[in-house]
Amino acid sequence: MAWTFSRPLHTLATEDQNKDAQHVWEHESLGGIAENNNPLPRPVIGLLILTYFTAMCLTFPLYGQRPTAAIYADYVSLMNSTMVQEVMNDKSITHNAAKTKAMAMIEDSLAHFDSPYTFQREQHPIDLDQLRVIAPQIVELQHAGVDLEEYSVIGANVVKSNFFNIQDDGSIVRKQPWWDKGYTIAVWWFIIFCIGTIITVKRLPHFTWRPDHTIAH
Amino acid sequence: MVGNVPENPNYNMAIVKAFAVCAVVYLVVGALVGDIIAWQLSFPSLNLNEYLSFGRLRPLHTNAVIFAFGGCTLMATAFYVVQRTCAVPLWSDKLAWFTFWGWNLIIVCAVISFPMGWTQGKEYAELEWPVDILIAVVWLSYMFNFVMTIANRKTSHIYVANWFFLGMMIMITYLHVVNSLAIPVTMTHSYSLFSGVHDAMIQWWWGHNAVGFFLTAGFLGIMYYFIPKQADLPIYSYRLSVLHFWALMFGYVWLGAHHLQYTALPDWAGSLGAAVSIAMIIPSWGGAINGLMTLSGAWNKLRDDYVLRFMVVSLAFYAMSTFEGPVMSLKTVNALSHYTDWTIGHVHSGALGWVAMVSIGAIYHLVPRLWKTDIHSVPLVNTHFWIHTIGTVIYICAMWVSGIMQGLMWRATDDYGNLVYTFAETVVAMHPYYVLRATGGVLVLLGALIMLYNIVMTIKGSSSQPATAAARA
Repeated sequence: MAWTFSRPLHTLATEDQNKDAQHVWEHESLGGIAENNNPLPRPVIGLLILTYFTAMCLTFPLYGQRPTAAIYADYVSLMNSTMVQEVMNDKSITHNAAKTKAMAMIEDSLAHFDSPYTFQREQHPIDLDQLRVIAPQIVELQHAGVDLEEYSVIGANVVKSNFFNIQDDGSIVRKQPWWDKGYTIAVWWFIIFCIGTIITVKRLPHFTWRPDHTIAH
Repeated sequence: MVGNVPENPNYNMAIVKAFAVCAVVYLVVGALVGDIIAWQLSFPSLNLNEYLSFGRLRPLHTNAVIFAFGGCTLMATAFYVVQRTCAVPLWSDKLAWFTFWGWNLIIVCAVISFPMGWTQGKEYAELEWPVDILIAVVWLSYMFNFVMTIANRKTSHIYVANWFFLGMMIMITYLHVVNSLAIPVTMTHSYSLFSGVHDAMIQWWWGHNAVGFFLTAGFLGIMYYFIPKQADLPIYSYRLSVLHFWALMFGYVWLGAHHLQYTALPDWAGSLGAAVSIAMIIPSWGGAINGLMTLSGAWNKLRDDYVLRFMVVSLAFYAMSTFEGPVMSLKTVNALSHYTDWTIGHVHSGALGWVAMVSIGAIYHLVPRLWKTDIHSVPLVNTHFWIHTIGTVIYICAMWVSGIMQGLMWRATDDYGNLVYTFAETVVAMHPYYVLRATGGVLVLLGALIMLYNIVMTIKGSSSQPATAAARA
């Protein structure tokens, strides 16, 4: 199978191959139907680019991430502080208003300090009800002296993460390795698809050629 | 302009006729069972006993319309298209008849086992393990015959419709086999080989790909043959069909995870499912555009061509439901739509609008040509078209309204965080829409009965009536 790479965006096939393809195209009867050689419509190409990047943008920050218990440790400490507890137990306002006010206090306090978890916290917001459920589990882990980054919050449970980041010495760190994120698979998949499709399409006769459908039919 | 070629007298059209007639019969049966369960949801007292209860009839409905009606349509059209586009008869007539009787035996097994309550409990894969094995054998016989016919072809080019049929056959084979892996306990009971979230993921990997490959790729094969053939025009773009085919094959396998948002499935898998769902708008719309652009300059044909009318409306529903699906897969939308009737409306927009209409169009195209006669009554076909379209629109609109209302009522809370509505209140609120849905279903059933009558009368009259040129094409 011969290839020509001199004009890859024009054609990847030799002149002889194009002539053969054109002959087949015009001289074969496919049960009384035929195919035209129109280019991909520009709106379709635009849609291809637009939707792919829209899809990536929509979901990229979330790929491969469950919230680790570490990002909520400061939330738990602040929730258990006297100042926040007073607001949570304030009977002069409604339950919902108390929750909202307490959460606002926690987030306001957190905003005053730099944290490596700022981005992850934005991606995984939490409300006071959820915080109350996971807080005892996080406190227990802190007392046990474990690395909270190796624990994931899944619904109401704080569980050991299911990652297999194998180290050089053979030990396993339960933190997400870079290659175990969903988007890396999607990016490779998309590149392979694009290369495959371009090769297939560019092996065809150029789209300016118009087949004569009267020959075979 | 594309003309017509004389038909090879050795083509096996008897098998195509048999599958086509079965498809029409199963359309009536599937629509009837579907409408019965729609009325049962509206009026629960219609659940007469355990054998005829909603829970047992629902899988009978889905299997009847997807695998009995859809399967027979796919087998009729694939065997018809592969012979004509490869210019050779089927590789084996005996194997084709084995496929026919085997497939019908599976349908009989479904009719018996679902009312008896023998089920694996996997959506669209409810049949128990002995029937699963039978399905795999019969499906492979269908694929093997198709592949061997292509291998023996006289043309060097493999027409795009055959790619779609073959893509469907290969993907469904391994999807069905993996999803059905189970440990048998008795002849009517088994346990899935998978457990927990893995079982759920495998189930929806199959479930969404039953939609993607069985109900989409296969029916796109129908679209790519019957639209240009019926319009007597070349398909708009070979290039676009290349993009359409490979994008569909590469993308669809990832989508199943979007059925499991907010579950124990890892977040990234759900996000990836949603991302690829959005990207799938490309092949879907690319294909719809290819079909619709084929009619460029020939839209006047829609005025009096009853087959094209079904086909074009089916493409419109295809484009619409393949936009709606990706939107529903996004986590924010899914939080409202999942587990509600909106999903049912979406599914039926694809099933009644796309799959049923393109199938009905193909069968109306086939029958006059197979029996070499004219259709018994064109006004009855037109009546079928309008009654089916109106029934479908009533159905999906009722489910959209009901589903969105249901989702909003479920999540409504007061100032103290308490739920505003009880579950029973949401059910009462949905009742009028359930009646409306069942009424839409009556129209679809009525249309199917009209089609059955028209087809039977066409076949009965075929021996006495001389065929026109169109019927001979």
